[in-house]
Amino acid sequence: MSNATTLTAEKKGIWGGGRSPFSVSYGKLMMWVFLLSDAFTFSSLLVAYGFIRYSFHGNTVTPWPSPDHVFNHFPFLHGMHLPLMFVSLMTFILIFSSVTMVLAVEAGHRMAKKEVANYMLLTILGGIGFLSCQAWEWTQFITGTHEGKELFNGIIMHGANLHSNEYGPTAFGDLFFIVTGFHGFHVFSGVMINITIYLNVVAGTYEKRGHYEMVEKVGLYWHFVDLVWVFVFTFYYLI
Amino acid sequence: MEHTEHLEHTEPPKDMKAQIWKTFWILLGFTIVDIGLYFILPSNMGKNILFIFLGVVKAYFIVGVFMHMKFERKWLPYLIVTPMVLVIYLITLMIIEGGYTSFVR
Amino acid sequence: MSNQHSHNDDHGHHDAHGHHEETFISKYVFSMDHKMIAKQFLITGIIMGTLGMAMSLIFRLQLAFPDMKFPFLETILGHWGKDGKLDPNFYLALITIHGTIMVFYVLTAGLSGTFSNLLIPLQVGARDMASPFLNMLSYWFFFMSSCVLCVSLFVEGGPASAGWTVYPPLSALPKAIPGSGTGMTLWLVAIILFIASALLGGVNYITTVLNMRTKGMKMTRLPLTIWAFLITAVLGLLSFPVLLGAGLLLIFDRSFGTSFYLADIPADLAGGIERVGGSPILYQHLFWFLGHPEVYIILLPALGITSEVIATQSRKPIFGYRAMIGSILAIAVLSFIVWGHHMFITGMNPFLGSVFVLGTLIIAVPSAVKTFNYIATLWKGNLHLTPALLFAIGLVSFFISGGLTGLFLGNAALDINLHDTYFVVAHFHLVMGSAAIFGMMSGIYHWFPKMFGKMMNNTLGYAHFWLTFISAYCVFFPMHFMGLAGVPRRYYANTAYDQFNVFVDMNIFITIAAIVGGIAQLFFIYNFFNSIIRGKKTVQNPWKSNTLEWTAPVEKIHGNWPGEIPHVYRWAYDYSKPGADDDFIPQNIPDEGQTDPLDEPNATVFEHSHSHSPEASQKEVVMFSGLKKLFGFAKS
Repeated sequence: MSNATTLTAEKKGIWGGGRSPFSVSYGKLMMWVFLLSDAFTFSSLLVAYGFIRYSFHGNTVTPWPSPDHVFNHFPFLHGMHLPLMFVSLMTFILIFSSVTMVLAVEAGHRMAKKEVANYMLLTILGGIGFLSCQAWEWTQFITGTHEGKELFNGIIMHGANLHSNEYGPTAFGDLFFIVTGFHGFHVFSGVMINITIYLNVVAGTYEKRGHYEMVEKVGLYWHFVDLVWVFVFTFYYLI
Repeated sequence: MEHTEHLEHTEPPKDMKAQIWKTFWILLGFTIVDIGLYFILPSNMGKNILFIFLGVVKAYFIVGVFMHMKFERKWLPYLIVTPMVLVIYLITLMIIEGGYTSFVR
Repeated sequence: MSNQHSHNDDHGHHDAHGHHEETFISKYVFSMDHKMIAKQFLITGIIMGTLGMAMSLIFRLQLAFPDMKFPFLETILGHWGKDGKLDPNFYLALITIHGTIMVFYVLTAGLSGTFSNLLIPLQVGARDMASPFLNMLSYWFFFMSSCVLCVSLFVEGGPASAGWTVYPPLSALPKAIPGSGTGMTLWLVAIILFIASALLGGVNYITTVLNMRTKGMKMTRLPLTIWAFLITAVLGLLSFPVLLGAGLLLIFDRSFGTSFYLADIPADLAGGIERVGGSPILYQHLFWFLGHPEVYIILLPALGITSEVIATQSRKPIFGYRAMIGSILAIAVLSFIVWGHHMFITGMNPFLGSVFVLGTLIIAVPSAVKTFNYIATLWKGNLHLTPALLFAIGLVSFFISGGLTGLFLGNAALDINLHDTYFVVAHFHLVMGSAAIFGMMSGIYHWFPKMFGKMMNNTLGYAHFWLTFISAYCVFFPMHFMGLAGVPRRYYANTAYDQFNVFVDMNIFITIAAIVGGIAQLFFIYNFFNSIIRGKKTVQNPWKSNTLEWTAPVEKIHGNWPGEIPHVYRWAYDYSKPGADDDFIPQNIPDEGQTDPLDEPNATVFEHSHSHSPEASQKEVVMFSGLKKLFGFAKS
């Protein structure tokens, strides 16, 4: 049989049953489908953000703050106005950990156990790094500036909590906490899952199984977390 | 659990490693461009749309290369990407609605 | 891949479970077998349904006889029924919990959970779900969720009372009404557990249908049940996360003092914290982005079951198979873009309102296609009027009569008058409540032999059907008139308003009909449990059906088929095919000369419209081929 006929026979049978129409295992398909639904969860939070942000359009009493006046700190460079620099560093860390993750997957295809383990370890470190940065960012946000802002009832508000903040409308702080918090929670779960998988890799579980598909699956999750951050970064820090 | 079915993986290109690093530099480049534009351009709707567009481009690279979508059979991307139209619809409507809320307030 | 087990063939899933001695716990409680999980869903659903129905009877009693005292209310409700009078706050709680139970626990989990679990692996030809473990987890999340909801009935202040849609600020301010306290918190917890269950289930259903069909089971050969379950799972998967997001924000508003949904609430009303800047309409949008697809999550499985039952019991191929799939898909897409028609009078942007009106009215088209296809399938069929078919026909009837009022309500201009009146109550109870319940009943009567290996009692089944059918119409039809006259829903006593006094008799009539309907369900419950224990043993294929589940033996085995999984050679609706020996040809029977399951069976033109009436006039044939072109996309 020539190559071309095999290909047509192959094409004809894709949806014919007895095989996956996507040529992916059920586990990977499940992960994709789960990520799709998770994307909708994040979307609902971003929709809430868009709605509330737009409902402050043209509001002169409590205008929506500009991000470069809020997120302008950098560790060890106290008092300098460095807008967006720290969050760019966080983005860099997350993208880099995505790269090490995909390198681990690639090494898994070659069955190179040691490489997989090393790259997984780097990914975990990246994740922890990101979480630490987020902790620092939250601390800055909660502590606030030295001057603070006088609220209408005369109390001077420093930083932010869920009820009010010195930067602008209450919803600004609330949405910051819930959007980045929900993302951070995903990163945290991702780190936990990555650690489990890393231990399995080191123990040789996947070596025995004959493939590293599990690494691919957590890889998908990890890249998704990265993907969400791209949009959080865009919507919360840039726009 | 993890026995794969006789799956003929659509093999990733041989120079996968090079592709990964290329994608990394592209993503980094776009992020730097983002920050550059943030300080250069005046704040207006056009700038916002540009940022969203850049975000979608970045998403394309992450999903396509990192998540391997470019190398999967074409039905998987259809399955996963098509429902995103609903999100765009929801977001568009809610932004209109948010604007209306500020109008009636 | 390990091939040590005889029935562990081309589909990857863990089978190891079925090969060691099963204990009671692993077989009946923490079972990973999809058939057992289906039964667990069904029985939990029936228990919750009974509870929900009992609640509706209590508040119907209150609506009919607002001035009378019923001492038994104090016995069962305690201080909520002091001196035999229903407490107004508890009335609100009852309607809220009735709605929640019926919408989520009975018609989402009880219907699609039961039948997706039972039928997906059996009808697509798989050993089990893609991930039996997640499937089990899905049930136990649902179970926990049911428990939390039941517990919320007993907390101080009573269960949630903000209506099943739990709009803020009633739901967001713990001190708003008695039911806004702990009961509301537990409601939210229950719903979030429920969402987890729905998502785990949905991921599994989609993956199983797409990835694990047996050889020859093309997408265009899937029974319509499976199409309906697949699309239902997609709807759930895309809409439940939005409710998760909405619920999360609501929990923050309630418990942590944020103001996502609260605008301008002074501190003394809001637990000491002033709430500004949010918008309650945001919650309504997010809720109804789930809420509208949810209607179809409820309805589509019922429609899928009806397709299967009607085709099997009228011994005819389903009319317009591809049009049926097309209309399911169309309904699914449309359901996501019309949620705003629940919110016409909330003060949302009128421009968006017109967008939503347009989309809503378009839904009538695919719905009508489905209805006419059902009628055309029944037309001149060799009807076997089993209880299952009767319930399926009942569904079609409710779908028509309830669907027509949807056209009224979809118009923003009319909705201004009709919103939150009994007209709406009548509409959704007919089209979503009764229709979906009838679909569920139809499925139970049809697949009971598959589930329990016993037959149900037909006489009781007929009694159940006629009593339920008549009482459902008697309950919900008069409500249209009340609604048109402006009687608002969710009111504790309508007699407080003079102009509604004309409806006193009607209210009493409705309540009596509701009690009759309630008694009819006791017939069913008795029949159901009695048949499990004492029913007649069934044969393998009692309905002479084509689909794959009837090729599996009656004895339940983990893995469904003892030998190899059957291959599929034809679509599921080869009933009364001219030239065939029998009036049905199961999907796993190849035609003469058909060796590869992927080939189409021999092309015999079957004019199913008159296969049972060869004397059918030429005129009818012409009419039918015209209809076929309209709705059937003419399968040649």
